Amino acid sequence: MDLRPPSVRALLEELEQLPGVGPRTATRLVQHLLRHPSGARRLAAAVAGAAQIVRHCRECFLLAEEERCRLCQDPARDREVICVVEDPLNAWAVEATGEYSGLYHVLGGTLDPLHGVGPDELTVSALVERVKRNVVGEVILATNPTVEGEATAHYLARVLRPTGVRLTRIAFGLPAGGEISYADQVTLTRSLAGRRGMD
Amino acid sequence: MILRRLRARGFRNLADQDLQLEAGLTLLGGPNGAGKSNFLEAVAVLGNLSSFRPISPSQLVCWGREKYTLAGVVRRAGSEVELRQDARLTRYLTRSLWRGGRRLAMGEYLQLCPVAPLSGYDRALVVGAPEERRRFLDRVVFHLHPEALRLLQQYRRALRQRSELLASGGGDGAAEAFEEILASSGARLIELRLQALRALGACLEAELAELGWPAPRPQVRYHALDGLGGPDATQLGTRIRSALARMRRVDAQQRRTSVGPHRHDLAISVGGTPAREALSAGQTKLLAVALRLAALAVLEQRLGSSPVVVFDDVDAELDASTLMRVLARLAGRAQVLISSARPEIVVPVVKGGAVWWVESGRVKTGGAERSLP
Repeated sequence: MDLRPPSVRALLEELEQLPGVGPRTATRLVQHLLRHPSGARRLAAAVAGAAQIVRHCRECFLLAEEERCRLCQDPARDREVICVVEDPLNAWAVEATGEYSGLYHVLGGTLDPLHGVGPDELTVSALVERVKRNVVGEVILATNPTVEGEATAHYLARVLRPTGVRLTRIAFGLPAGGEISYADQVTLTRSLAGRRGMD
Repeated sequence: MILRRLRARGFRNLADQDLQLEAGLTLLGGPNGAGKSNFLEAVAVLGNLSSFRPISPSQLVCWGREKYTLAGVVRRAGSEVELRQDARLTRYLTRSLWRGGRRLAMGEYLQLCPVAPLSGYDRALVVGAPEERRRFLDRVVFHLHPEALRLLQQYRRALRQRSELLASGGGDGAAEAFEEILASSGARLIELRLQALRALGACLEAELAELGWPAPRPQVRYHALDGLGGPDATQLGTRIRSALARMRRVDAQQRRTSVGPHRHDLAISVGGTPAREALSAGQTKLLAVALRLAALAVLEQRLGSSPVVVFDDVDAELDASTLMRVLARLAGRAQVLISSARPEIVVPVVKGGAVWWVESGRVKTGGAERSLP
């Protein structure tokens, strides 16, 4: 006989839909939540609030609470540079460096035919429009160095080239603090190919 | 390189056991189905993550069980390395690879204890499908350039993406994006294959001479029907790119990518005739052995020492004098493990080796007297 009350069962079912959560983790989470009812209520409110208010910025598709995100509204940002990333997490990582002062463009994934993702499933046309409409001097293609990320960079370069904008690809190579003798050969090959002059 | 210890749990029909292995030559005897091949397979899979038999990885798990572990201690260049693989069978076989307490990527693991595998299935190198020869050559490529593994994975992934894209009616722009990757990784792959083939060809010539193969000796060359390879390997990237673009419509209909290194082959001929037509069953086997020995020699040159050699069913299809010559080529190597269902034929030509007996999946070490006729 299933001893779990219907409400607990419903909660388990919802939790198991989350990435990385299986039946056992879900059970542990439920146990914890029910032991701490006030925390559970705060979590519920946070989830409900976020689900209601969070949307994609209509310019750059970062997560935002307004039509346009704070970054796109910030007059201090350099509007002539756009860094194109696969998802908001990548933008957060670039932003955390504190070295980048331009704007972003979130694609919402990569070209991935095996999972049914083509250019129309990404925010590619919005990016092209953005580059045409505004004074943009450089587009940095910062997709991941996977097959899909590389293909997406090639694709973007192809569709953006007619606009005449300067296109750059982020460099790949040795990790900071790493040693050449420990680097794998693919990484080393790429860092050689991506070398630059010392002036 | 010497595999000193082997631990097997849940692997094929081998009994769970821990074995101390010996340097030099070890002959495994025992009736058919006793587990001789499975034991040699355990050694091959421990080092290479693949068997010399054409079986799917999920079949490596003992029937009725859902995981296996293979572990070993290998002595190389004066130090001992512990390696282990834990495999779990769900829908696929997933393996975690370890060196001591550190988890390794496949490319790193495969370099710890490369095993040179020889078996009756090697005939397929001469008479089998192109895929067999590609896999053989790509293994040599990997031994010379370990980074080729990622290149190959990248190439295959881009291939699947392009085929899917074309099948689902995707646009030229997206197809071009994946073709860009196929062109750059494909060109590099062909370049590395040609380089590996040159090394292999030189060693093959030497092995055939040692095995007493009379003229005309078999020749191996790179065979690319699409013209993207062979002697003219210049501007390969550009040529692959335009060939892919040209074939896009046809490929969309046929749901495959019709040009590129995944369609290439090795052409083996004797005096201008394809080897599969020119050779007898025994010659075919001997040529296959020579190809394996040549790959072993390339690997030896690269490592500066001899890898572990396994040879399953050593006497099948070879006459006594040929068998002697083959065994002579293996003698003197650091560690050679061979099996035979008729050890009474092999024992007299094996000098100074150990003879072990295999029964019901269990290896009995040091039982030489039992196997002698």
